Amino acid sequence: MLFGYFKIAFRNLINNKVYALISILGLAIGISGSTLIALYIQDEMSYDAYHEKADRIYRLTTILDFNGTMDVGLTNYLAGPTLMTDYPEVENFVRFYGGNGEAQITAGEHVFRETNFWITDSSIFHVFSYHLISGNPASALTAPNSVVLTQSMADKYFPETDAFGKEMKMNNTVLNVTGVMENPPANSEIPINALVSMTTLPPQFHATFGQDWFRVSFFTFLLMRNPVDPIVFDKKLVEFEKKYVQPWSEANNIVAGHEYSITAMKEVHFDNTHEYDMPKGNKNHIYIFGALALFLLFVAAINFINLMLAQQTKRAKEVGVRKTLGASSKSLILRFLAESFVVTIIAMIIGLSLSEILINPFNVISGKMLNSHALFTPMVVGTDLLILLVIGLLAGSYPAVVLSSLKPVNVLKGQVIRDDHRGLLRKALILLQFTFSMFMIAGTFLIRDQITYMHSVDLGFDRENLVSVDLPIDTANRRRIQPWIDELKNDSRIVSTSRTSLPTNGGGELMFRIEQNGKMEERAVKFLFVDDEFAEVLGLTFSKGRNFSKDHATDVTSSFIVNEKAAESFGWGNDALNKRIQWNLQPNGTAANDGVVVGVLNDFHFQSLHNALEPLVLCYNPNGGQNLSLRLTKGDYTNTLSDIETSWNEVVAGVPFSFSFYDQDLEANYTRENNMYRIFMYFASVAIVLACLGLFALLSYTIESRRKEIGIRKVLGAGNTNLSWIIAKDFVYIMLLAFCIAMPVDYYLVKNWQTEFAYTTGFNVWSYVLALLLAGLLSMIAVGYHSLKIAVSNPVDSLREE
Amino acid sequence: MIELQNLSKVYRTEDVETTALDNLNLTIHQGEFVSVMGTSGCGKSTLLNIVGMLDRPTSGAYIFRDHDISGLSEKDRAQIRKSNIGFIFQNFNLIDELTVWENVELPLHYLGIAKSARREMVDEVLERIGIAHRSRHYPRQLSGGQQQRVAVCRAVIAKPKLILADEPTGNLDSHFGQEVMELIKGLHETGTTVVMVTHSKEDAKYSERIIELYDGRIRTENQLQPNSF
Repeated sequence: MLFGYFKIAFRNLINNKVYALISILGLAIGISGSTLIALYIQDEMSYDAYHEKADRIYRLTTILDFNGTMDVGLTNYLAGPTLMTDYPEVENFVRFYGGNGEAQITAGEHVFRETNFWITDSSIFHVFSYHLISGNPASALTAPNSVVLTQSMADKYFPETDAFGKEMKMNNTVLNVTGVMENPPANSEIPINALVSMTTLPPQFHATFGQDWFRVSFFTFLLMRNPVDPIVFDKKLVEFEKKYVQPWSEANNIVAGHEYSITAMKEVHFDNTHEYDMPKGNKNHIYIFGALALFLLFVAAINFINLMLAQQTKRAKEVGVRKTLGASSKSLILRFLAESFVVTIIAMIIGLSLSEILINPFNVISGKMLNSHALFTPMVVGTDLLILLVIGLLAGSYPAVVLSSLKPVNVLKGQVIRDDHRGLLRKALILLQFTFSMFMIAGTFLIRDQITYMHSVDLGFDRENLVSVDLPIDTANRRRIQPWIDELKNDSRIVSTSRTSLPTNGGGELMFRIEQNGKMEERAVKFLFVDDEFAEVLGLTFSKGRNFSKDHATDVTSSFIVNEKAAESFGWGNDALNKRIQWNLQPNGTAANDGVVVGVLNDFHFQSLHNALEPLVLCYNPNGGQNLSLRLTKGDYTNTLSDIETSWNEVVAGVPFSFSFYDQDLEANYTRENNMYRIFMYFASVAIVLACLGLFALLSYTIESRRKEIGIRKVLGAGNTNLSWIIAKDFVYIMLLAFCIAMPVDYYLVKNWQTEFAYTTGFNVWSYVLALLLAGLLSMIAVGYHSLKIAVSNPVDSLREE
Repeated sequence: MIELQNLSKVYRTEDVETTALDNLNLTIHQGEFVSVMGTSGCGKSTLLNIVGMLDRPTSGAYIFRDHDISGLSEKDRAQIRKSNIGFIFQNFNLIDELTVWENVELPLHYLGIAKSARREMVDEVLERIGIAHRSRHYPRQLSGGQQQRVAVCRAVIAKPKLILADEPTGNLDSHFGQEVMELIKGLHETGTTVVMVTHSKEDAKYSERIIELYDGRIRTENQLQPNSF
């Protein structure tokens, strides 16, 4: 019997090739697109879910309350161990330190620059589910100078040999490989290349950090004995703060406090409100992508359902005959449902195969690392089955119920089933489809507007022609590097150099004491350590005062430069010069660095445009950081860079020359937006093409079912324009209505999205009009084709049939 | 076999009431070949639909093989219909998506006959009616006459007691029309009761009795040949 259903369904498809192709391929593309987006969402939602104890792991964060608050993703050294001692519900803790900086790794002859080398507690393997390939999880990170490498790092440093037991160097510290772990999945909150034992840090580090509740530098995770309610536990943390932090503050004359809170592991990826944190996901984006996946699926499913409805109507005669010959209504309902499922299953199979094929291109546009195994997880398979069920039922049940209830005597008499409410249903579905499509097209344009705007904003400096070279970290090479830099200054193609790492997304905040209203007030302020050439390389200009200078011996300890925003924010107005600033604060009200403002810079964007301009203090560090920044002359600098590399190789031993273009580094701030734009662009294009194909097929159906009317109108003298309008007008109204519905929704969502940026382009109505015109133009192609067909048709043909 | 007593059929729309059959009394015997003639709208097709249990009378009784079926449910009537009545339509009403073979097989399918038996019966009837060479074709690949032959095959496959033919030659030219009438005549000769609605006097000559309807009533009744009983 099933074979029979399949056979008839198949023959129906063959007899209506165009409809079949549009509906099946359309649905397949819709399924494939929405599946890929679903995988993206699943990946985002499953961060760190692979830890067996994930439901008992929580991250501890701190709000530092000085003169104003600073919410950081970190804690001090003491909070984790003290909580474990004092609170029986805390089973264990793990701290991560220092991994976001760069380390120079020497393994044998080779030197590498790496990030994500974390100094951590030995309890890590107890709390998190990292699997060791070699080494003992209980002891691998107990001894000083122990390192556990991930498989990929082990293969990189010790190819073709077992890394276990080997020696390597991190900066100037010798480490022994005490374990190799499997690479953690990409959807991990803390990206790990290697883990170094906490005991590797020197005793004075432990002594300093172990008595200071205000040195906030560690990511701290707590393992609870049982899952807890964060809100309830946070109340205990208030007591904890009173017991430990406040007495310490008072003893050290600090008027400040901490506010601790915990976040469940599964929420950490979206807990994106903290400073000094790992890159985070954004729940809003997940909702937007979720809506995108649903829209796409809707558009394709509606096409499918609409075309199935149109097709099934033609089968009234078949139903009449079958009923006359004894078929029951039940058997007919079953038949139509089964046929609908057969076709849906075909589309599903093609769709999933497409997803498999398209997963790599999708990774490129989305910046994910999904693999096709994800297609077969219970959640995806379950969702697919649900989609199959819903679409199969929707596409099959309406014709099944309507057709099976037909009276054979009416159908066989040639009486056509009334199309009124079915027509209305179809129009409602098309309305939805165009609303979704227009929403997506306009969304794409609006995202593009924001991205274009961000590129056009004057950052206060010239971002072009800047190159950032990574300097060696080891002391020997460090010593050799300054003469090399001095040599570069003689190259006429190099305009200026600075040993400052150019800011890509701001630095962090430091606690300063600032002279305000004649008093010194503590305040957390953004800062940068710069040399005296930084301003020149970036092209910054001073509104008052002077730059740092090697000629002023005291500049290192007692000179500061601020931006205009800081001068305004600190209440200095035009009188910023010589105002007092302290940092490197000591508990007793003194400071290691105590000085005055010597210069005021015109404002420039030292953070991404997600952030508004903030007060900034520049501290002088003539020795420079880990990068050399170069401003090159305009033009093709391939030769310049290759010459620089040649001279590098002559001077620096074993460290490869590595550099990046500053404008690209800045662009990395907008990776999320760029990815989102690309995803929107591709999927909106697919949606509108699907919607137009659907419209095309449906128009041909409409025209077919109105052949007689068109024939009569033609005989009575209707012109082609008039006839085209009769056919097209309903769809034109639908499109305008779709526009009216989609516009406020887009407006709301885009406004909401734009709150992520401090600088927004606003809501560009023209982008919306453009979306309408584009959708209109594409659908007019469908209408135009059919108008042409009407124009050349002979009315006698259609009338003769009656 | 068929007895219609005071049978009426009234169609009502919002403001018009049309009487298609008006207190009609008619008896058709087992094995008889009856033609029903009349102008358009005289009620011929309505009569055929009611006799074929596709439609219900508004009032009156319909006795089929000694059972009053006017009060039966749709399901019961479908049951009686599929095992007793074969239909031949003016526009053939073959299912486009099924082959000739499958179209003919359809009634057996709904009667729940086993596949092997079905195969045998379909092959036999296609052979007998002379359309076996076209069994794998689809209706649209056949001429009108061939399509009607297939329809005849489908009507007789389940060996019905009664064949209802609604203008079976209406869409055929005279040559094919004659062929189809010969087929129906042959069926009648094997003992099947035939009720045929027709406009064609030529076709009506094949029958034993001609009933002429006018405004839902029997106007004339001509016995052309002696009853076969």
